[in-house]
Amino acid sequence: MYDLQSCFDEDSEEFKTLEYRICCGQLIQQDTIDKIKGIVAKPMPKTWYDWHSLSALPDDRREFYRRILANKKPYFMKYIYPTSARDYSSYLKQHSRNCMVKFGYNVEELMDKAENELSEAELWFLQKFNNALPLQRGNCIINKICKIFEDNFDSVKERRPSNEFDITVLKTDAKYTEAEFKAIKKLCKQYMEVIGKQYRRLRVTREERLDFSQKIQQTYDSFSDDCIKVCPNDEVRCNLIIDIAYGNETGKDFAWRTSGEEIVQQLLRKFGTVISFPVRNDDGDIEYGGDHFEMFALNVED
Amino acid sequence: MNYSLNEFEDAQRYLSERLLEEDDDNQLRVIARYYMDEGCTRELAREKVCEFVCMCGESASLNYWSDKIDLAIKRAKKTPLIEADYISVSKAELNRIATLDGVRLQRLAFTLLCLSKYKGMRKENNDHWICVPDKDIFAMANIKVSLRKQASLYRTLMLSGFIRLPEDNNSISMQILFADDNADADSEIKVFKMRNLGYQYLKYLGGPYFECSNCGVTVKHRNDPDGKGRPQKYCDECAALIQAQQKTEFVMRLRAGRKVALLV
Repeated sequence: MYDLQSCFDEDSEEFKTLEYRICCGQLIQQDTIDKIKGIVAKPMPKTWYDWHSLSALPDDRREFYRRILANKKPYFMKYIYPTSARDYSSYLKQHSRNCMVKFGYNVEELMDKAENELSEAELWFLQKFNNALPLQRGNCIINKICKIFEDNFDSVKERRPSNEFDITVLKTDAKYTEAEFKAIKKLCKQYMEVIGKQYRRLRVTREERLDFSQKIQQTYDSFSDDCIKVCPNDEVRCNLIIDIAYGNETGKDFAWRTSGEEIVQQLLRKFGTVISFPVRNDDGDIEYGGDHFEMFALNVED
Repeated sequence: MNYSLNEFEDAQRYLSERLLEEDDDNQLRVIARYYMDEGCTRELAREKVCEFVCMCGESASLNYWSDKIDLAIKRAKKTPLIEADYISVSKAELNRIATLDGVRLQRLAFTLLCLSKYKGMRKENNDHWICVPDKDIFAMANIKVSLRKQASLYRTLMLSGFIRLPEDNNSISMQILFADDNADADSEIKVFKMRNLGYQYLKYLGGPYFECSNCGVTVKHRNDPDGKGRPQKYCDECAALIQAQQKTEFVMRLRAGRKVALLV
């Protein structure tokens, strides 16, 4: 509500009402958290955030309530919620396209124009655009900070680190055919979509973490079973999945979740059964995170 | 998306050839509607579509296709199958398009006109409104330009009175204002395939384009059509398929000939 409040003067009734609602909101939030202890938590009135509930209000108050309706997240939330970012960018893209067709320039250029330079049609377009924006672009403090960051980092391109890891270390000499590669790649793509959907559903349904991780593991097991039907040889299948996963098709996590054991067995066969790992030791020669470590070798065959 | 003029035949072909294309969102809807038109309920049509998916290959996973099948059943209920031989474009409409400045703009106008007639087949009293993504429109018009240029082309059409945008600024719909409902009476071009409409228009203008004898899609001649040698008959995709087929047949004939020779 702070972002909405920033759109009004400090002396206005809207500002004061929103100030009251912000205080109430903090109390309502605290009571809702404490509901489990038996506290009777009063919910936030729907007329504060739901457009449809305004129709029940008397005519003289409806316009006032509509002006201070907090039904949108503030602009900076697009960096926290990916769905907000997606909705906002598709909204902007669609409106830019229509703005370019109707007026010859995009929405940002239209917004930069002074109000007295805009025609009636352009003003109406902007009004409709601002009313239906999925995020609130008020001048609250965090929105202003967000804008400063965006202006300064607009020209900076993110440089991806080069992938210097040699994946042949994880693989054996077993060869696969192109038909096997295409079949497993297709399965990988399908299962990644299924897993992506499950993660998105988790955000909405908020099911228990344990149930969810079991479900995800079942999906990976199902994928492994399907891969075995296509390519029964463990070594060949492992090489295939490493090539697909490390080729940025699915992500490295996919390879380790589905063929982790086989990869470890391959590494042990290739480099002997001794594994080295750092152990905390005050006299160690490796320094990390304020602690000292030394490398410890363990023969796993024992 | 696949814009087919005869979805009924397509459904039969998918079922007989057990063809499942991942990129085609429309395919399952067409098959589902085909079953519904044969008298199946929604639940039975869903079962049959699932069977079809399973028949299409070992790697077809119902886990992956389940949501797509649900969406296809939902859409199939609302959209009937199109069964048409061709779309007619009249002389009057073409004359109107010819008043536009620039062949690229004319191709775009031609494509929008054909799309409005196509959509009209699916829904009567559509009033020539279309709601098709820009990338599909420009792909069919065979025009490759930036987003800004695309908007500029639409703007020119809008200012010339060819199209109208809706009041809703969030919509990609547009109304085609120059379509003629009685085009069949004065048909100048018959569009048999909703692909490469830009090339079809250029062919009408006399450009070096031809229709593939195998798939019917209009493509550009690789070489000079009036030059030496036989004129091109197939598009590149069909040419590769047919060459592979002919090679296989040749090898089979050769082996059969050798077998007979050995027996003798």
